[in-house]
Amino acid sequence: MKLIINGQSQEYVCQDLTALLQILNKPANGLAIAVNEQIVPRQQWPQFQLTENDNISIFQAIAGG
Amino acid sequence: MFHDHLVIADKTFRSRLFTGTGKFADKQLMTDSLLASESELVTMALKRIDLGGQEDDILQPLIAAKMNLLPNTSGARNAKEAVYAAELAREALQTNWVKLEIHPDPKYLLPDPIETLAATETLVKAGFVVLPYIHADPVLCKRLEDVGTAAVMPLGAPIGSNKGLRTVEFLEIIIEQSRVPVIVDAGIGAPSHAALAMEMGADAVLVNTAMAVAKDPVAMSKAFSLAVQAGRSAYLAGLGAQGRVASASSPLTAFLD
Repeated sequence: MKLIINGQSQEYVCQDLTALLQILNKPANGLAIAVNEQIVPRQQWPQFQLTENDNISIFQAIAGG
Repeated sequence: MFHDHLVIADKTFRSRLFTGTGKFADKQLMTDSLLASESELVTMALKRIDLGGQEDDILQPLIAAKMNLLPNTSGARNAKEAVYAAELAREALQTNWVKLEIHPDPKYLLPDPIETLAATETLVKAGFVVLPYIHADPVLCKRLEDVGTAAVMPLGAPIGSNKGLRTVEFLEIIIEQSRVPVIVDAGIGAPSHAALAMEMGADAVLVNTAMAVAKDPVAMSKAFSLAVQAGRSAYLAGLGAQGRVASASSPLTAFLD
């Protein structure tokens, strides 16, 4: 399935957001995810079904003033 | 016993020095400096992750040090983007506290007052504890109070400029009038600047660049901690009045006559 993640389009084999994070090798801590510009609360990540061409933004807390 | 604690919304702070996490050379230096500062509230930013790279995880040491996290909305150019950034930050860091920053111009990073007021109103209604970064504008501070801001964060000088309290006359008015805590943010470049803000009656200061870019960030962070405590103690002690002419500290006895 083709997904657009942070602007990069690529094929992924996964059904939900938790599985996607595992494929991307990103720990869930300190992350926020929006799918098609709608923020998905982390409790919903395991059930959130992804579909072809979903536009996914993944954000992370970083150093800043 | 008298406890001089600062209360903002649901949190009580013993330290009146808030800090940022930006610009430190590495994670260890950041952690050591923040611990030396005794700060209990630290700001963080949010960005889209780099899928290829492995970002430094700065969150763990901050959580381990029991710091309260204050995500900012840096990068937002208007109220809509700032509200979105705040909602993302709430998800990422599991806190409803937000340092609202809307500065569309990258050269001076001066905050947009109109967008900031609009975003504050929206975020307060959505249950956020909002600490907006603003120009030292006493009128705007009252407008922010009216829409339920938790504190105000007027600037001393442009972010990262280390120029000190160039807005001192307006900070005095803000402190005199404010019904919410006043946190002087931005431009504080030396412990003396922080002490001055505290002597004037500011409730807290936020310092980042001056610590992070010092030759010895850990020692500088300690220096800021001491300065903030000294300034606060001086404010509580009540400064003597200034005069135009001398006032003798020793009795003017005429023993030489």
